[in-house]
Amino acid sequence: MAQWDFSAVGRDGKGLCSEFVDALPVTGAAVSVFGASVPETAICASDSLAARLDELQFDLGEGPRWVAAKSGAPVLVPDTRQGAFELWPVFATELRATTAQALFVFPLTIGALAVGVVELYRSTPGELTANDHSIATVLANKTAWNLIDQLLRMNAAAQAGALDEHSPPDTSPLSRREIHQATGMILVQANTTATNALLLLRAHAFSKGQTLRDVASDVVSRRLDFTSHPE
Amino acid sequence: MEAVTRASLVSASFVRLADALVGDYDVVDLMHSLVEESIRLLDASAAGLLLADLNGELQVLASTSEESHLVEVLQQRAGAGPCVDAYISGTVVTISDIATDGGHYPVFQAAALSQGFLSVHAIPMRLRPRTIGALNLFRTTVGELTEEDAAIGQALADVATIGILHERAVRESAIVNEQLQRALNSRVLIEQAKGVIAQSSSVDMNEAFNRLRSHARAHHEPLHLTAENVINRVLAL
Repeated sequence: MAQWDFSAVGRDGKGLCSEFVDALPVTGAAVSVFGASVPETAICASDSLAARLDELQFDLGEGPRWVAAKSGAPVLVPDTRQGAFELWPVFATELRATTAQALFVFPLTIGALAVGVVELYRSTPGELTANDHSIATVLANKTAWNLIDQLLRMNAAAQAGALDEHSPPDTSPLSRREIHQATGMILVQANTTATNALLLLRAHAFSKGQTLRDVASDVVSRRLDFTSHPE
Repeated sequence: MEAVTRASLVSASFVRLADALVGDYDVVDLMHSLVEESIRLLDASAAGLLLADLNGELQVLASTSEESHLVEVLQQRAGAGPCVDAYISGTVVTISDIATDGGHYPVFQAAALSQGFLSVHAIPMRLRPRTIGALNLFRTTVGELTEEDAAIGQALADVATIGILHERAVRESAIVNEQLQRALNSRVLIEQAKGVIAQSSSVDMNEAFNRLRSHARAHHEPLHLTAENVINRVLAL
């Protein structure tokens, strides 16, 4: 399966996490993405506990991170010391041994694209207010767009390990629209998810040295097909 | 006589829109109804509604045609078209004769003329100090909108603003941002679903959108939910 490659994103990843910590009454934040190989999965963590909570869930294969990933909805744990947490008993035990007393996980999604999650913890218990919930949702959305944008802007040169600084950023909303349409077409052609479809699109652009926008346009105009097993 | 007909047309349109604003409505669906009403009422041949994303870039939320050439005419970068200028300035931007007066927007001018659009009227969608987007009306005749038409256009833009930002949301800027993003995300979902339908049913994007919308209407479900079901392959259209 194709994978996210956010190795170039990590460079200023720290800023991504501190935005959450600055704007919200939380102690720490960690952003991680789906589908990446283990070293690339963590985009940023504002402190070592935030990083550890993400890592623990990754290692255990359970935790609110995975629940949010599966449902596409936030998982709010205003008090880690209270409640049974049947979906993640092992992580719950580990969590209680830390100073995190509240944990809020927001999925990073764009349409049907599941990019990753942001995990916010606080050393005191308590609910997020409606306004904080909105702020977190907005920041999660912004983060998802940023990550996708960076992903889409990496052109063939990025394969060699560097972002092409000279190419103008591909910010045309029209191209995005076609990219989303192409994503929908490819997910049917390759019988896969929206996220994998976008990765296939990107992988093709890389291998042919084309822009994502050109490949998307080829797909939408039916000059290119990703059908996996032709008759 | 004509005035009576006009007034009743206008009020019927607004009643339909007000009716759609009640309860659990789908934002993109409502905005499609709104752009459709706006060309009917204002003698325009195409209309599009754009919303600013988090980077201040305008995205098409709804347009009277799903064809990419209309989207292209609508979507120009800062300083490059009347739609984006209406959004940035917060004031109405009118070009009553694109062929002679549109020269300072060369890319827009060429794109608009190639579609047969001779005049454009871009109305900002205002929310007190800020502007969240713009409603754009394209006509195949030259000339300004009448004062009455301009007022109706502004009223339509205001209804759009209200429809996107639920009344309760307006008090908190975080919630405003959340509503704007929800609307734009819903649009992404619809584009993805259009792709699924276009591929699995061998139809073009316009037809894919029509099928999506007809199904949502017939089953009284929000458009974004229909789109989600299509993408998850629970529903084939």
